[in-house]
Amino acid sequence: MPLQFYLYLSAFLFSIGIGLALSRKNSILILAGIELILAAANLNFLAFWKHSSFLEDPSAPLFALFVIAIAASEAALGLALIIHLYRHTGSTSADSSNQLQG
Amino acid sequence: MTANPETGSPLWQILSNWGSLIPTILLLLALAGFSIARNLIRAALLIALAFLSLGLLFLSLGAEFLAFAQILVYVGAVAMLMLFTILLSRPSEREHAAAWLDGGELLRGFLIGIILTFILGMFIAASPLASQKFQNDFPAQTSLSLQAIGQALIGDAAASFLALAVLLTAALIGAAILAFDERP
Amino acid sequence: MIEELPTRLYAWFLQLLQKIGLPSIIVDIVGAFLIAISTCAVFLALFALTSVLERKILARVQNRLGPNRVGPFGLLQPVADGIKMLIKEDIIPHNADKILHFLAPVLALIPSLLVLAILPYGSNLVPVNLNSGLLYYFAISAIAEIAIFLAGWAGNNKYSVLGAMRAIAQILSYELPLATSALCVALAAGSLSLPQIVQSQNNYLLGLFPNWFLFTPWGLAAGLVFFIAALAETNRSPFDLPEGESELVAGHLTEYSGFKYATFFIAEYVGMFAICALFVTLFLGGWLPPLPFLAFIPSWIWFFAKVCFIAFVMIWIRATLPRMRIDHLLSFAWKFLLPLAFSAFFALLLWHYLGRNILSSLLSFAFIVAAYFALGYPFTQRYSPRKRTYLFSE
Repeated sequence: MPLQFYLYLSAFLFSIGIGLALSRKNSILILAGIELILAAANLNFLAFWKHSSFLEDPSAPLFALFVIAIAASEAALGLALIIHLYRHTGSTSADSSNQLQG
Repeated sequence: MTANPETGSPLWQILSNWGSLIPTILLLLALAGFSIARNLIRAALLIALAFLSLGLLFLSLGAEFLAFAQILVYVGAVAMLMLFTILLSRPSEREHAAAWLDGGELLRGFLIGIILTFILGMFIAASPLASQKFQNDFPAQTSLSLQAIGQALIGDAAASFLALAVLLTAALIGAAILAFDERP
Repeated sequence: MIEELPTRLYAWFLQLLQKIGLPSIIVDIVGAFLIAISTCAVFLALFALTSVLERKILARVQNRLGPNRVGPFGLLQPVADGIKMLIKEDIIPHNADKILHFLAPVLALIPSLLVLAILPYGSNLVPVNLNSGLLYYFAISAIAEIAIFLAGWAGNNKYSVLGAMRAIAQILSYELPLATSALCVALAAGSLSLPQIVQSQNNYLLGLFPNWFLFTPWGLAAGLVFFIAALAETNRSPFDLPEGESELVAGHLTEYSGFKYATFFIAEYVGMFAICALFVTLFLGGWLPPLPFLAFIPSWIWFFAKVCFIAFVMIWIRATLPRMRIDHLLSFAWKFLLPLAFSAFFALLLWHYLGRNILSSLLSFAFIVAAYFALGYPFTQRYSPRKRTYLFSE
């Protein structure tokens, strides 16, 4: 598949991720959108790596590996926060914590 | 009797195109299903399917270590965490009965996605890469061996690797503390 | 000659197809399908045999006969079981999600069968030679976890959801010691690809003693950790709390009957064989013969002999040990097995960097013994109850 295919695909995934993160009400789905953004960036890196002439250079897969690890840790923390918020406010909706107090 | 994906026989060259198309179709279907899913569990499962097909796309790009790492981490950890969080934060019956997906939410997301796609697509089309011809066959030998990634992790990227380890430990401890239930 | 029997049969069949005149693309695709189907068929036949042999071995350990009615020595019992499972009514709970209910057994079986693709069954007998085969195994078992969650959720039953959560907690907790001990082997062999790992065990000390990884000090610790974690990964006794018949009805499989239940069973047994085969590949030298002059026996016979022996040990353990409680088994994983796997890792570093000789072996062995006793000491404390104080009586 030519490079442009992967570029357009990762741009599409990136925008879908942002659309999800900005429009859904449920916090868990917002987090899913953020994970999708990071995965789209990974796809971009790897597509450029494969179509370059530097296939021996491990920088791109290494960077993608770090992105995967960071995405996982951020997802874990985000979900722990959502659980904590649920116990506090009783709902996972992003609109439910709109008070500074209580 | 070994079928090595790295040799460039004609079968694998044809399959490499289908190897990119099939995960892409799966990914688009999963995202479409995710947008119109009827309840939260199905949405989370379809996102897991989207991550799985992304992993398959990485595989078609020739980064097999990264593909399996992606499946292991995203499908095995992130999607599992999302499912657990959905389980532990069940909405009350009233919220459940309310409209799960209103049209406004879907429309907003769709609009934002499409507009951003067009903007980014225009940037891609205006760049000098858009008209370049690329070889789209599977690399005959993957020149990147696992040893290269390992050597880089210990050598050039050692500081980042250690920082990542500290970050992951901090995230683990933080998540455990945050999710700890103090009620008896 | 028997050694190359599978390879020769395969090549002969492909030549036959080419003679018929099919294009070479079709021949390649049919060849790939043939490899996949024959591998799955071998393991499904093993499953059928094991389902009756396990009951007979359990029975003999418990001083009774097993099933002995159906065929000679009861060996046709799987046929009877299969017919029974097929004609049972398939009950789906009323409010359950039908798609998820159907999908969960399928999703549970697929990873068990996918794992069989990377195992080296003999010299030159690996279906797919992936460079990161070991990581592939862990990625595939991640899909199996989601299948268990689906199974518990699709029952629309609080108890099966609870059972699914306990099962996933168990599998997740035991994946870490499993991965760490497999990591030790990957470091010692210098590669993640399974045929390469087997090749790196292909030397004999003094021309006589096999240099398998289980016979090194760190390998003993890592191998035992891997074996125990493997028992827990496949939900076998003594870790079969999620699916024990007396726990939460059938745990996450409560709402399944008939062929779907049989599919979960097949997934469990094939998964057990897959992880036995992985243990044999990583620690017991795969298809290598124990003594170099026994190499006239074909390599795939050695492989299957070792796998059957390890499966026998798993069945033996099931017959002997009682079931562990959920909090006990989770604390065992996190507080004992995982630190022991890390100390096996350190012992490997000691053994490797001090030269791979007798002195470093003794040092790493001493390290492992010290770690074992240090980590196991809290588990040996007897529970001594506090003196009871009664609130309402004297």
